[in-house]
Amino acid sequence: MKVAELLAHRQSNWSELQHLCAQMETRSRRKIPPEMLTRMASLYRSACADLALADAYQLPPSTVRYLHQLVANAHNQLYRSRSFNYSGWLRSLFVEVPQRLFHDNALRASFLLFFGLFIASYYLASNNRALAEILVGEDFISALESMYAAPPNSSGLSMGLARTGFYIQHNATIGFRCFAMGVLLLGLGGLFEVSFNGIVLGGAFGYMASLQTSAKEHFFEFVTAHGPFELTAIVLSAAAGIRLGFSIVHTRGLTRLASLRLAGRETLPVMMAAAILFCLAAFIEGYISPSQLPYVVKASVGALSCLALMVYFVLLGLPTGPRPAPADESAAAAGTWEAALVADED
Amino acid sequence: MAERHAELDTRISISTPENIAFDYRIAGPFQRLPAYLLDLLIRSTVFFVAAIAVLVVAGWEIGLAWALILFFALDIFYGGFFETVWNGQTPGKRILNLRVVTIQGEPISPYQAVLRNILRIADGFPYIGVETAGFPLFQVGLFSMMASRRYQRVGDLVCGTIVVSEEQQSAFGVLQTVPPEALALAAEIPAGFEVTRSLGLALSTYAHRRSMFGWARREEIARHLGEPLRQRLGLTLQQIGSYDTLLCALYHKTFVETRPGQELAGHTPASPFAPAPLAPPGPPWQTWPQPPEQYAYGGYGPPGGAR
Repeated sequence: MKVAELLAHRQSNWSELQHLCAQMETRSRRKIPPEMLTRMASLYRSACADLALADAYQLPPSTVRYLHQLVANAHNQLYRSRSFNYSGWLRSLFVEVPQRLFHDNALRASFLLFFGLFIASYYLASNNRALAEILVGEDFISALESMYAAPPNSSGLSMGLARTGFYIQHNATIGFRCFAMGVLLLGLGGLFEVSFNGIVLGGAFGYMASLQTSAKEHFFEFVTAHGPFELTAIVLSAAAGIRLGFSIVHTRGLTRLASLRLAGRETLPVMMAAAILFCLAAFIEGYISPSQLPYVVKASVGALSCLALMVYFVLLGLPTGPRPAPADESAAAAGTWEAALVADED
Repeated sequence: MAERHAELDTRISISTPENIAFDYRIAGPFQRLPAYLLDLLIRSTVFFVAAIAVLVVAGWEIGLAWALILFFALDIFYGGFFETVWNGQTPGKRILNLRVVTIQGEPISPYQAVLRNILRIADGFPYIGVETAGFPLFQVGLFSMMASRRYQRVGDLVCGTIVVSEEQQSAFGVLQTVPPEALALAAEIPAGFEVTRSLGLALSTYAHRRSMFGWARREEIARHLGEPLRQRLGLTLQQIGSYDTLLCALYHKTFVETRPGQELAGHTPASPFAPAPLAPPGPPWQTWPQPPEQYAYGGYGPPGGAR
C-alpha cells in the first residue's frame, strides 16, 4: 500500500468529518439530526484508527499533524460541555452549602474575626474621637457626618433603582475580589480583607453611636434594614477566600494542587450565596433604607433578614444524617468531578 | 525521545475513550493575551452600546442603574457564560482558535467556567488605578503560567483546566510532483529496496521542506543521508545527478508510486453528510503554498487523474 493511494481513499472521509465538525460548532445542539451524529461518530472512530496506524502507514508528518487536529476537533464536538444544570445549582445552594458551612472552620474564623474586631473597634471609637479618626480615617468620618446630617429620604423610585445598581456593582465586586484574593498569600488576603472591613465598619458604627446630634438616629435608621445581609455577605465571601487559600496549607491528605481544586469546587457555591446576599442587601439599601417608611418597618425588615439567615445557616445547616466523611474519602466517593481532580497525577 | 520532543513543543497528549492518544498544543501567555484583549474590546463595546441605549430609552436614573448592573454582570460572568455555552470558548478565543478544556482533555463544566473567570481577579494582580475598576497587569497570572508545566494561571490551577490552541490546518497529503530527473532515477532503484520507518520519516520531512531552500543548501543537507544511500544502492554520482534528486526519487518510490493489486481495508463509504461537491471550496491539495520554482506541490491528484 502506498501512502498516496491510502490518502486518496481516506481524504474524503477526513474532509467530511471536518465539515461536520464545523457544522456542529455553529448549530445548536437540538438541531443536530441523529443520523448526522451517528455518521460523525463513525467517521471519528475511523479517523482515530487512521491516527493510531499513522506510524505503520508511514504517513507524512504534515498529515499526522492534520489528523491530530482533526481528531481533537471531533473529540471536542462529541464530548461537549454539559449544559447549565439549574436544579443542581439550587440543590447545592440550599442543601450542600448550608450543611458544609455548618462545619466550616474558615467561616467560624471569619465570623469571629469580623465581629470581634467590629465590637472592639466599636467600643474604642465610641469612647474616643481621636481613636475613631485613627481607626476609620478622618475623611470617612467627615463624610459620614455630612451624609447623615439630613434624615435619609428617598427621591422616588428611580433613585432607588439607581442606588441598587450602584450597590450591586460596588459591593458585589468587592465581595468577589475578597474571594479571589483569598487564593493569594495562602488565605492571608481574605483574613486581611475581613479584618479591615470589621475595624473600619465597627469604628464607623461606634463613632456614630457616640454622637449627640440627630445624625446618630439618621445613621442607625439607615443601616438597620440592610445591615444583616450586607455584613453576612462580607463575612461569607471572605470565608470562602480564606478557605480557598488555606487549602494550600491544610491539604487534608491530598496533594496541594488537588486540595486547592477540591476547595475551589466547594467554595464557589458559597461565593454565589454571598453574591445573592449582596444583591438582596443592595435592593433593601436602594429601596427600603432611604425611604420614608417608619422606623418600625425598617427594623422589622432587618429582624426578618436576620431570621432568614438563621434559618439558612442553622436550620438547613443542621446535619441530617451522619456527619459527613472527611474530605478525602468523600471526594473519592463522590465520583466524576472531584474524583477526577483528586486522581490527577500532577 | 518522543516525550522530550513533546515538552519542547508544548504539546500534551490526551487519551480518549476510543483508546487513542492525540496531541493538543497548549496556548502560552502570548497567545492568550490577544484573546483576552479581544474579549475586553467586545465586552466594552457591548457595554457602551447597551449603556447608551438604555440611558436614552429609560432616562438617566434607571438607565444608570441598569448600566451599572450590566457592567458588573459583564465583568464577572461574561467569560463563565460563554465558556459554558460555547464549549470552552469565548468570542475572543473562538476568533483566535483557542479553547478551554480540563487537564484530562474533556470539556469543562459550568463550575469550572465560572470559577476560573472569577479567579481572573487574582491573576490580574497588581492593578493600576481605581480599586474595583483598575486595569490588571496580570503579573500573578504570568508568574503562575511560567511556574506551571501547562501554562496555567491561578484560575486554571484551581479549576484543573488548560487552554489549548486548535489551529486549523487543512493542508496535507503527499507531494505528487518531484523533479523529472528524480522520476527517471526512481525507475533505476532496485525494487527490493526496503525503506524503514525512520528513513521514510526523514525522506518525507525533507521532501516537504526542500522548496524552502536554495540549490546549494539542499545539496548540503541531502548529502548526509544521500551519500550512504548512494553507496548502499550501488549507484554512481553520475547516475544520481545530485543528492537532492536521489532523495526525491526515493520519496517518490516510497510514498507515491503505486503497486497494483493491493486492496485497502476499512474505508467508510460516502454519505449524505459529505460536504457538497468538493470542488468549489477547493480540495486540500490546492491549499499547498505554491513554491516559487518549477516543481509545484500537488496532493495525490484527482482520482483517475492523468499523471
